[in-house]
Amino acid sequence: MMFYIAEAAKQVGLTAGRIKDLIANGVITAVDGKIPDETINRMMDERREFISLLEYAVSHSNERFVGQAVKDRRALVDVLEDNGFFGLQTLDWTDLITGVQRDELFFRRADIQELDSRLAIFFRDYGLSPKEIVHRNMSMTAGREHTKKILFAFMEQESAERPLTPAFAEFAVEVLQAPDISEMLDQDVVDLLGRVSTKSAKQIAAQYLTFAKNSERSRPVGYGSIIFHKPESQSHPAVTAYSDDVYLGLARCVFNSDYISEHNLVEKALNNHLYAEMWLYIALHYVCGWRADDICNAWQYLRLYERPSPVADIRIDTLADDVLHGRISDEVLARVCEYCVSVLAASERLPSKTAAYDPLPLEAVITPALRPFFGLLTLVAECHRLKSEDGYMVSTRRPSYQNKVNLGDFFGREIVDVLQGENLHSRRLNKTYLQGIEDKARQTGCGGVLASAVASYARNHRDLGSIRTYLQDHTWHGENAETVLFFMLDRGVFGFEIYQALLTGYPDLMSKLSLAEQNKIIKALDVKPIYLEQQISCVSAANEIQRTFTSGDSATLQVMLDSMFAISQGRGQSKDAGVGCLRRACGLICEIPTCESCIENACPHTVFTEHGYKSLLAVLKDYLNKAYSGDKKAEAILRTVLIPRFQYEINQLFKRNKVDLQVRTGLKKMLSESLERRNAAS
Amino acid sequence: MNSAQALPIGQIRQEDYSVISQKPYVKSDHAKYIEQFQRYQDMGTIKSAYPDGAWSCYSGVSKSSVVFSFDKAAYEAHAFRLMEIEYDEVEEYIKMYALSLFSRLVLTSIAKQICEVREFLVSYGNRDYRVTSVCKTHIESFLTFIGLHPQKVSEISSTLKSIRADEGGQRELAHLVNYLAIDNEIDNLYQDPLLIDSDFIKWFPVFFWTKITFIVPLRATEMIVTPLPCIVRRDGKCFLRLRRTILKGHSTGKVVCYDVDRDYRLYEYTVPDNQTVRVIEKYIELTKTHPRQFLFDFGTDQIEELLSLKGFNALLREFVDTFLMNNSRYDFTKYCAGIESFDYVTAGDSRPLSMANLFYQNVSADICRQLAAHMNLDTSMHYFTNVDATILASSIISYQRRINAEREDLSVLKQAYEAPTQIESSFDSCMSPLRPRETGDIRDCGTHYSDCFGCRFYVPTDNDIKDELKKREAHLDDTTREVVRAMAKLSGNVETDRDIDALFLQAHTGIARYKETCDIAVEKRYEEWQKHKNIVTPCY
Repeated sequence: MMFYIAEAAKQVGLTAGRIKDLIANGVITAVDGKIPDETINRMMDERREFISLLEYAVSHSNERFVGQAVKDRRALVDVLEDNGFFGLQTLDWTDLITGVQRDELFFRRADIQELDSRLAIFFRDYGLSPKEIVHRNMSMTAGREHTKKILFAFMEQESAERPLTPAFAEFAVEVLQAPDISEMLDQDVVDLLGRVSTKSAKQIAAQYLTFAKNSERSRPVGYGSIIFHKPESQSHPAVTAYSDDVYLGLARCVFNSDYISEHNLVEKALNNHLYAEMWLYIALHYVCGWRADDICNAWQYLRLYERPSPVADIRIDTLADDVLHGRISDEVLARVCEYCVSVLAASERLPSKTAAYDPLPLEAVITPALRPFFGLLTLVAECHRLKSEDGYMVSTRRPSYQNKVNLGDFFGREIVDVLQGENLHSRRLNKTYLQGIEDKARQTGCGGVLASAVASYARNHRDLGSIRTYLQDHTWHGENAETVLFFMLDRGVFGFEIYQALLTGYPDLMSKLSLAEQNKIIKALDVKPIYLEQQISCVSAANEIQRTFTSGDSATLQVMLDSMFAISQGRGQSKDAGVGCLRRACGLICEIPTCESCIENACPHTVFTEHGYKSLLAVLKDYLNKAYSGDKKAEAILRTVLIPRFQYEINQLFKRNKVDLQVRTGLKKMLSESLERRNAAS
Repeated sequence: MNSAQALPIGQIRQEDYSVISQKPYVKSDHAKYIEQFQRYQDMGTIKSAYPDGAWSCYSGVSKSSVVFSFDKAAYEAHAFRLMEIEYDEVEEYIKMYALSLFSRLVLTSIAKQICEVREFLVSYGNRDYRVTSVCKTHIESFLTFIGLHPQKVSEISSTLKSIRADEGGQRELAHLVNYLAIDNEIDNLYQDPLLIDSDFIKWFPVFFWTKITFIVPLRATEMIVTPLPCIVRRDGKCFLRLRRTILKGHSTGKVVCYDVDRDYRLYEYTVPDNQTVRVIEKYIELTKTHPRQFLFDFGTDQIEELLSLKGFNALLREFVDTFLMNNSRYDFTKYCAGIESFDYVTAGDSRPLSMANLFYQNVSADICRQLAAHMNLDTSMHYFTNVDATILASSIISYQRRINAEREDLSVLKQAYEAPTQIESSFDSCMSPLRPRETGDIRDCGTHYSDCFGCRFYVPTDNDIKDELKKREAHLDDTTREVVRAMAKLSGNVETDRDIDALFLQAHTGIARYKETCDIAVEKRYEEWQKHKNIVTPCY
């Protein structure tokens, strides 16, 4: 027996159009526009036995859940998938002849009761705010008065600090199923934490339990403390910074003038607000280390839709045309950017995440060269905002700004290639930017910790510790813990002594070299840290002697000269053991062993002669030179002040230390030779 | 050692969290505790029998003794009045309490806590009995464990007199020169071709301590469990294997296994194939006849099967005595450092020193943290501030700070006088009627012979100021060059400061010049960009 389509549709309980679709798709066959009764019977059996997700969803529609809406059905499918379809049998729409794509999947009608009971809470709470869900559940839960009281107080405290999340609702629903807080034991805590699915819900539950424990100390609770196991520090974070190639490739797409003109980016941005927002959103990642939400919410605009232009030379009526045809000068564009940055600075807007901890406002550093560019993007945004509600960045549209399809549509194929087919990752861009800041800070002379602090400042972190995740995989200088350690071991123990000495000697150069280059120099020098330490303290002492001698601080000078003299007057056998011998201090033997006394022979390796006495002579020599060049004042100072002072100090030294004649003769000779040599040179 | 892992009593451990019970002990739980004791005995952690007055325990690294017995009469005269629990029962409670701490704390901490409890039991009420705040917490914890009412515990706690803890303060390091001298002596010793094998072996731990832990921020306890072999050669590279503890930092949720393989993690670092590596390899070769788990040959007189920290510190002390004390070669060093004699240093000093070493070589803060195996940066920062005083003793650091301060002053002055603000004058800037520059009469010069700035007769022109700034700059350069000259004097490979300049030029030729070239290219590109302006008008 055969039935016409309309008749068949009536029997099966489907629309005629749907039957026609099934015929057109070849799922069922029709002869002369009629369908065989076996097919109809099969379809009726299917309809009796199975129910589609669509039909089920539509039948459970309420004021918030709309079964016909794809979004709501997706939410339902998510719940079903999360719960493994509650162990119920499902069939794909392709498995049934009556199935079409909209049906998605089918359940057995016999399982509807089971599904209803499992999904009752979902349909009931769907579309409610977390707070509404908690309130509803509290009102529907019998008993557990103590729990309700504590939960209410906890919710008030939490909602005062931040908006409640779905995780909070999830936790609250479960906590109301658990035993009353006054009866809860350790195992109940484990059960409760086991029932909540997300990590954040678990953490909220732990906070709640601690809150409950602390809120009524007089009524001790029966459970212990909860400790979350912290994952061990990872040497390589999951989300890494972009490599130089990617970062620069992206920069080319966003900033390069040739690229911009080749791809008509200005025109495209003027035609589509999403593109305009996306362009500004990505570009801002290159001038600040802000979080994505802050970029969307904190950037300031001219707000031309509600007031005249605060920047001169901008005509609102022809703005789009002016922008498109480049009729706005760079100076004006730069002023637009400067205005936006100034408004931002004046607003002292705080970062959304750390506002409660860190009072430092957001700051974007836009160099003069980039100001016209950001001015232009701001004006493009204004063009859209003048026409519609759109144009300004919105944080909810972040996924669209980062979407590879949108990026490809706007910037062209090249950006998709640069991103290797991935969506753009805001945090990775932030990371690369912050690592660049840290690297730059180090190059300009900041130490390791200070450079990290600079980067931390750029991200408005509440403490230095938070920056570590951003700097862990440094792509700029390629340093990681292992390579640094290798170079440190290569430099040897107390490498900092020689490193700091080189940094002192070559402040502009040393810090700019890579670790490998620094090592090359350090190793080539082969200086022992302890000897350097001794040598530099001698150099410091010599400087100090000159200073005290010139300033007339006789007491200090005498102490220094006395102690230098005391440790330097080696004679005979003791000469080689003399503590003031700079060669012996370096483990070397005496160069002039035949000479009896070190000072008498003006040995250049003795502390007194090299750093004490010679430093005094250096001052005299300096003034003598000035005097020879015709400086009467210098001559007078030398004659009337320095020479008498020198004579006095040396005589005092001789007297105090009972210096013998040979030593005096030696020192006199050194004085005359030293000054004569200079005279000759002059 | 048994491979089974025991969980702490009362701890319910899940994959991502633990619930730690705070229930007091009840007699019905006795069997559970005995079972736990048995487990530790099977694992080899507890070596004694349950009824013993002290349990001898082994952590896989060191032995500790947890003592339970205490003076009965003293107890009855003190804490008994408060607790009204018989002596035997209290001893039993202490054992249960100790068992509850197993797997939560390392053995030394358990022994210490139990000692504090014993001390409380026999001394409570004494006029001179005082406790630290940490000790007070431990006593409260014990009293809660034995089932005393929280209010009663608070009452007892409030009557305990407090004393400020010695611990927790910053480690006081010796003067930097002590460590420099040790390093120097170790260098000399191990470069000596006549060094005999027995001395080579004897002083090797000090060599390792100096050459490795002064650079890698290892904890002293980590150093002594360095694995054998610790040097591995693979693919033409050399690797150093070290153990780092996993119990430090956020340790509350962690389970102590009393097993070196589980309480420590093995790390491999690529190291340069240099003299240090060869010395370590030679040591391993020389001591290979003594089978052991850890690098250091502990000899035959050690109680534990490793070189203990105490043993290492004794060796270090002997080294200082043998090589540094009364060594006239260091008299000048001591004189320069301003110290009378060398100090005895300890194993733990190396960690802050290595942190400072990294810090003063401008290693990024996070890399310092990673190498120190810290969970967060703040802990590492604590180390930097900690050693500041010691490192400041370094003459090069103080010299550099002085120069930097002068350089900063100079740059401020330069900025201030960048643009000429005063009218040029052909007159002498010295307004003294005695005209000292011409006449040589310096009676108006007072005591400021070298520097006219600040003199009431001195009215400098712009040129004077610029000249003065140039003079100061030249002086600063000269002061800076002093350091370079000093290095050249000491260097084994260069002879003059010019040679060091050449070294820098060579290094500079490579990457730095490449960077410069790039900078020039970027600059040109920027100019081009400016010419075309930022935005090119689209064509239609």
